[in-house]
Amino acid sequence: MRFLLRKAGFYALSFFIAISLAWLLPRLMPGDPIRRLTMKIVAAGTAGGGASTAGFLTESQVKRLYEHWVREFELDKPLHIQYISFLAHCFTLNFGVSIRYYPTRVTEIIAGALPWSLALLIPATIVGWFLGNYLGALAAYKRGIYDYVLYPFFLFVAQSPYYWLALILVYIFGFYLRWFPLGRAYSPTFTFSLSLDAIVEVLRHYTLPFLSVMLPYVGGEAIGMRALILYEMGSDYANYCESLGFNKWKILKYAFKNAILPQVTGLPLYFAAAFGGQIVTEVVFGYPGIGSLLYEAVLGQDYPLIQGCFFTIVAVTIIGNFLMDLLYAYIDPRIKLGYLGEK
Amino acid sequence: MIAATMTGFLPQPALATPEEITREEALICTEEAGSATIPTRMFNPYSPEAESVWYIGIFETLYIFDNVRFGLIPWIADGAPQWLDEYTLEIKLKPDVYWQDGTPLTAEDVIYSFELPKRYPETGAITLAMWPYVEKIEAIDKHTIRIYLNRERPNKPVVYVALCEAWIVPKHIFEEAEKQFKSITEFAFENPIGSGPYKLLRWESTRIIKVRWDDWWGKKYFGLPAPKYLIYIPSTGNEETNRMLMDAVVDAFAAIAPNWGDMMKYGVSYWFRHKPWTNPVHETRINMYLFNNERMNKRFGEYATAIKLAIAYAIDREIIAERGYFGLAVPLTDPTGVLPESPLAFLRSEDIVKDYTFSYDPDKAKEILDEANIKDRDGDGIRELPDGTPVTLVTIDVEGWTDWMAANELLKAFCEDVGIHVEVEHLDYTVWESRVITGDYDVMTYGVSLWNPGGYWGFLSVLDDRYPVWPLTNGTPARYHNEEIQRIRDEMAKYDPFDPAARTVLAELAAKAQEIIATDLPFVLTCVWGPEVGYQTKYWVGWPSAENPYAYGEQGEPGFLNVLIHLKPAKAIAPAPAPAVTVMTPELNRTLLALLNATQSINVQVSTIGTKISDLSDSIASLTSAITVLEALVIIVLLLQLYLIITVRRGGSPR
Repeated sequence: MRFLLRKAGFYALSFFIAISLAWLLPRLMPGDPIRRLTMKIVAAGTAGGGASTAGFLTESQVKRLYEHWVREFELDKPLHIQYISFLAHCFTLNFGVSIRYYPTRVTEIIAGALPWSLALLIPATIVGWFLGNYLGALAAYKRGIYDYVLYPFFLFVAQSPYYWLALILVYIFGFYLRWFPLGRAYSPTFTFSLSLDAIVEVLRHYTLPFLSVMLPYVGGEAIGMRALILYEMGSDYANYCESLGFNKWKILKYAFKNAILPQVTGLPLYFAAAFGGQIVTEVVFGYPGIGSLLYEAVLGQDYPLIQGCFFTIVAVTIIGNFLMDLLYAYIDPRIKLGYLGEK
Repeated sequence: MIAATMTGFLPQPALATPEEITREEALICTEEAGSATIPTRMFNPYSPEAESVWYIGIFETLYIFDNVRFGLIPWIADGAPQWLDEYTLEIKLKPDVYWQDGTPLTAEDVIYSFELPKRYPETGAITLAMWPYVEKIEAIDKHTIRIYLNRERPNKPVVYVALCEAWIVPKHIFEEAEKQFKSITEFAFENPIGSGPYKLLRWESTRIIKVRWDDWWGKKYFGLPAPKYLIYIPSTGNEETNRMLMDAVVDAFAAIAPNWGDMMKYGVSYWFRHKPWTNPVHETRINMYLFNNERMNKRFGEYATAIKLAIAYAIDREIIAERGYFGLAVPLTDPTGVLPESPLAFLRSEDIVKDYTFSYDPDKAKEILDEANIKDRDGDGIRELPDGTPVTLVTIDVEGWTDWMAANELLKAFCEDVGIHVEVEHLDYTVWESRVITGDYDVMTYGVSLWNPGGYWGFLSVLDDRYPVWPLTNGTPARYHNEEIQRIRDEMAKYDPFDPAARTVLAELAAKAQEIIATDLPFVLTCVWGPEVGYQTKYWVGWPSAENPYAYGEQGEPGFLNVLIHLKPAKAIAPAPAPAVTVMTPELNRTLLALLNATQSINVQVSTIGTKISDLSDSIASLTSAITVLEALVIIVLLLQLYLIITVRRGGSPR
């Protein structure tokens, strides 16, 4: 229990530091989001807006407009008051209203985007984890041609950044071969239904982003598992089992159970990295997830939305890590004994 | 938040089977939005973040700007506006206009829409610009309004801009919304009721689908638009959207691309079938090198004008138009800003054109600098002033804005030829904005529009520091203060830009302004292009073109309504194929119906639960938002104390 409390305290502190940075860093970026909002409002009223905007509003009208929106988003308050207010609102998951998507609340925006990110990340992570570990074990167990072909492939995909792989997949399979659409979750005229056509349409759009997230993970897990299996197969208990005449497949099963432990530890770390790192994947594929949202929020200096997105990413990461710590104790009896021993 | 997540992922609960939408019935538009998502459901034209492409087709304006002839097309209005006297403008409405809920649209709705930004200046709507020059607007009867200009400060161009750009909204709905929200900008109008030919069918975070309203009042006057569905999808950038246009995933898009000619092979059409593809007479953007006149005068004093004049002769505008602006623009060699073929050609002063046409003449540029005693005194290839100050200029643009970047690189090359050193800085947008705000540049690429109801008065705004021009909230990037230009503009504002009788006086005023521009050179014009819109002809034809020259607008502009009523399907819609024969037994039928009902029922229940939990979380949020800053501080202090107590009791010292 003490161990758990200490873990919880550690995660709480990490969380606090992370969200504080999420509050501070956007404010250090050059630029003024309210100025941008003001100019957007002014430009919206005239044809050819943006660079072609003629000045129709007077200086005092623009100044009043600007000051209104500064007050509306409480950016006229001193920084320390803004910070304390932000912390207070974090307890209620109230990140306020988005600057970019006023007057929609940040929680609503994130709630709409989160399922898309999770729908991409969770299956890709699970499939990648299982596939990667089993392929890695297979390569280590069988050796020979399996190892010569699979291992270089693992190395290649493991080192590939998600976004680079995403671009390659889009270019080859989307643009050149035209086997899959170039992006988005479905076509503009798509109609939701349970028909086979509709399911195939969604899966076709899902394939490339799924592969771009899954493949690097397969490679990383496979390399790790391969090395761990090779190590375990050379350990004392494995040699002893072999000398007793145990079937190699049975020895592999024992080795697998030991080798899987570090892979389980790595799962939340990967999940966290992927969750934050799939920003570019979502932007490349036009997937309406948290990544796209964060990208746009950063470009637009939408402070509340940036804070909300980072809060979500950090919360998912930390909760995932904490749950994995508990799960680890469950699957590894030695750890469980260690936890109980502290009592 | 969890419940909202669950419902956010599900498609909108289908209480009825969703409509099947075929590509042949749908007109799909896009615009470069930076992201493929539409995170907010917002259809209030007077809320700052609602994009006009979201609600185009739902709302309408009194007039549409005729950007082919520089005129006005009555839309909700009936006939041209009439000046009863110099300061009173009367507009009649069509007598049978009504909202999509059947309520008649009357003068009250129009006046309400015009007055709304007065009560809520935070909307920043275009009608706000009108009010400093208007005393009042009143309804004479249900279908007639009168606008009374301020006699001390009339401004007719701005009034016309408002007539063409102000979206008319239903008073009976907005008045109720005003009671619920402290500002009308908070009203999302999630289920919009407009007067336009389209109604909202579905909103999703990746697209907005509108369906044609076959009872539209305007069908009597304009006919029904051919596209049954109007779909909007955001795009992540020009590259993606150009590709979608080529692949016929979208039908219309406004953005520049270096390969416009190549895209015609894929069925994309423009105004012209040849360069410059756009019609530069429809002067959407007059491109220029805009000087920071304040800094130039400070750095170079009396020599600033000579340097600017030399640059005017040093640049080859044909190459800038061809390479800098991808052949979409045509050169502008005189400072009038108006092409001889334009309907506004009467504003060109022939004297100015004769005396101040800046042809590409680097020798003349060198001669001007030599005569001003600006010479290369140390042999480094860069000219210096008599006091030794080197003539170096810093020019800035935004990284990724390829036309601006190319134009700046060309400026550098041309200026180096005549001994002026130019440093080009491609900056991130926020950094560029900061530099413009602080005035840390000597020159920059810029663009101004002439082609809107503001006309030449609007074009001169870049030189009038009383009216902030993007991206500044005060002043203009030209940092040019000239009271004569201000006086000319104020005088121009008294005249109707569409009135043939006003042409003579407007031309005289324009000539005075052009002379100031030609001699002071606050900017050097380079080239001009028309609206950079491309259309896909695979599914829809009848787009505006040189062969079919009717008034048009980009996807978010009122003029797009005029495009919609001109479109026709590219091919007749084939009858739907006969459904495949399925052997349907009663048992199978019952099972399928039960499954469908169960799915719909689950959708509805989840949605209901989601709504209830969302309401609950709203209540909790509003309740707990009452936690004051002081309470939060107390909590943090208590936690720290607890930590200290625990640590001390354990015998350690707090770290």
